[in-house]
Amino acid sequence: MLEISGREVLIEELTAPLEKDSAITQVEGFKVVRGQLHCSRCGTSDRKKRQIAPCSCGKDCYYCVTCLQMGKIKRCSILYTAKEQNHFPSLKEPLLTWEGELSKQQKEASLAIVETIKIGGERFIWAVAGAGKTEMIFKGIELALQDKKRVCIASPRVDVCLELAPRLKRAFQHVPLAVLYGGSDEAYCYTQLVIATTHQLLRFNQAFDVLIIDEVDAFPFNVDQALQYVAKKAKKQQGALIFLSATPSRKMQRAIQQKKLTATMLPARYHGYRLPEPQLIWCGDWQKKIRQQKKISVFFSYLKKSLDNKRRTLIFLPNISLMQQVARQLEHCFPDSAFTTVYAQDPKRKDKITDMRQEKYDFLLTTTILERGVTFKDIDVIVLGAEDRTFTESALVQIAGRAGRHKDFPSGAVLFFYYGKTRALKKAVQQIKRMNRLAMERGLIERC
Amino acid sequence: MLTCLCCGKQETEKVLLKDIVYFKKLVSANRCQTCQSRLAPLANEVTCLGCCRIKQDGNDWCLDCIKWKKTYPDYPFSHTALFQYNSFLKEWLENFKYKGDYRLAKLFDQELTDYFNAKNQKNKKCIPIPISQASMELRGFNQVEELLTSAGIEFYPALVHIGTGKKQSSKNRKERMESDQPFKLDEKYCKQLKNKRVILIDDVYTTGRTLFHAAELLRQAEATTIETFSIAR
Ligand SMILES: [Zn+2]
Ligand SMILES: [Zn+2]
Ligand SMILES: [Zn+2]
Repeated sequence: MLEISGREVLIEELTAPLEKDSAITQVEGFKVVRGQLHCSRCGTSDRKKRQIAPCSCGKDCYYCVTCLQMGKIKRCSILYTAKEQNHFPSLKEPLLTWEGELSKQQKEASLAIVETIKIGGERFIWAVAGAGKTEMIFKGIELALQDKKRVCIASPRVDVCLELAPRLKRAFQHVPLAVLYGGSDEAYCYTQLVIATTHQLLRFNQAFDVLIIDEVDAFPFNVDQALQYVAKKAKKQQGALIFLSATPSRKMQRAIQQKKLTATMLPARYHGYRLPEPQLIWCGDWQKKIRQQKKISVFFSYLKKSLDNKRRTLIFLPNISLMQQVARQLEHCFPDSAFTTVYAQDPKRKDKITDMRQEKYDFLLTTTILERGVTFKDIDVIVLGAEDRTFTESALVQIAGRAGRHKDFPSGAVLFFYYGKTRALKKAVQQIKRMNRLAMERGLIERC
Repeated sequence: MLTCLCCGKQETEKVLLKDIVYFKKLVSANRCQTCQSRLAPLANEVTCLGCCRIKQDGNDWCLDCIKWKKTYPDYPFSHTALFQYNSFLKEWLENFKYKGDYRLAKLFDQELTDYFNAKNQKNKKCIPIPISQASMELRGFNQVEELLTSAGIEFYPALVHIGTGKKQSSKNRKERMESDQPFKLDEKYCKQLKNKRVILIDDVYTTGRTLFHAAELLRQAEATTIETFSIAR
């Protein structure tokens, strides 16, 4: 029974058979909402996403293509659900075993989060890369747990969830924690505190009093609609919804500006130094130069200077093919330098990143995959071809955010080599400058 | 514009000049070039005469097939498979059979049509390997029958599954080799098969155990020749 408390699942997803209970409700696989047929799990109503197929039910049956990877929802499927019980064992005090110190802006954000958790509603936490956003949610979680509230921290990205799990376990040592993601070996277990991918949230129904969505901007296509659906489904109506992000989408930025969405800004890094602002350098038709086997002079001379100064650099390129062409030229021009290339599906990706961290390379060429999560101690950042479509406003802000993360090396150069200024490029620079200005006004960073 | 059945990517279709020149029957492509490139056709490989796997050594028959010859000394078996059972086909079968994505039945329309409409295949009766009642209830369809239906190939469901329905994939190799006859002949078709040439069809040839069980029954029904066929090996 507790297994389906606040859940909405197929019988084959259960770890134990359900005993008869009047509190259990059955929901059909598809239901009509406002005259439209919807998949009961993922909410898809697009007719093209309903596939007619033969079925053992013998009737004209169809299934949902959108959420098929999570198990088939058919017309004849039955989902089992029960009202969230908030039936949790008493927890051993102190709940919060983390003993770190919050910075001034973190304290402010922490208070704002506590406030939202108490009264419900939505709040957006806009924190620059390196602001330390995980620590500031701890206090709010502690209070919610004490109030017998059910709490979930979700992210569209599995890696974010997996990174979060040990940190949360350390911060709440005596609180049972379930970590839910596709392909996990662990069976579902009813807990008060949950970490889940936003996908897994589809298996919940009015479960959480507090839902915190981290890296919300990483949500795949169809963003706002799907995200709204999943949040509305998994969270209780009166519950609190908190978004965390370093780079909100334009739509969210607009909602914040128009005060439709309450936001808390964290414009400064935890170490109190300003964000490195990108330098824009025009490099002409660089792709043509590559095709003609000519050097991109501004880029090459900068890199030479940088190597002479013993600086280590991350170089971002728009795609694998361009990356490899540039790598060949660099091999030719800098035969004495140690460097390599890495891309998303690179089988040696992990090793290469570790080697870069251990300073075995002078520079690393990469496609956009390193933009989140990966940090290097003392590094400069270059984007070659910053005008390319792959470099969105948030990608550029994330990339710039790789530099100057460490308190011992708070500065680092960020260079965007471009051929044609895009809106994304201008907006990204504006965003970074605005954050520095904001941090200065609030006295969060030193003038330097 | 084609939408890839496997990965959902959209791509503009390319009609090759040679297909038009040779009046090749054009079935609209349903996979993108990336997914196409992940297929490993066996047609151009040197394979075992028995089971169609890529040859491991200089011998015409692989060690497994030599064992089969001992078990079935008077059954001159010969298997044909279209592709290597690589990661791509594993994904396909996982999504088609186990996740139950019915759309994937279409994936090999072109290849199946080409194979079964060839001149030397005329007048042979196609018999799909049946699935257990339990699988049928779970999946709602027999994946082999749906592959054939999708490609417009006539078939005779002459075999019936009578086994426990324990999935082949959940047994280890030894268990699989020792498993008892899971099929029986459907009385209705018995007479129709006598003195006929038949092709037994499965989705993938793994150990061969399933197909040999099925072939045994068809020999009892006095089919003249029994060939076996699968998408993957
Ligand atoms: Zn669905
Ligand atoms: Zn059905
Ligand atoms: Zn063989």
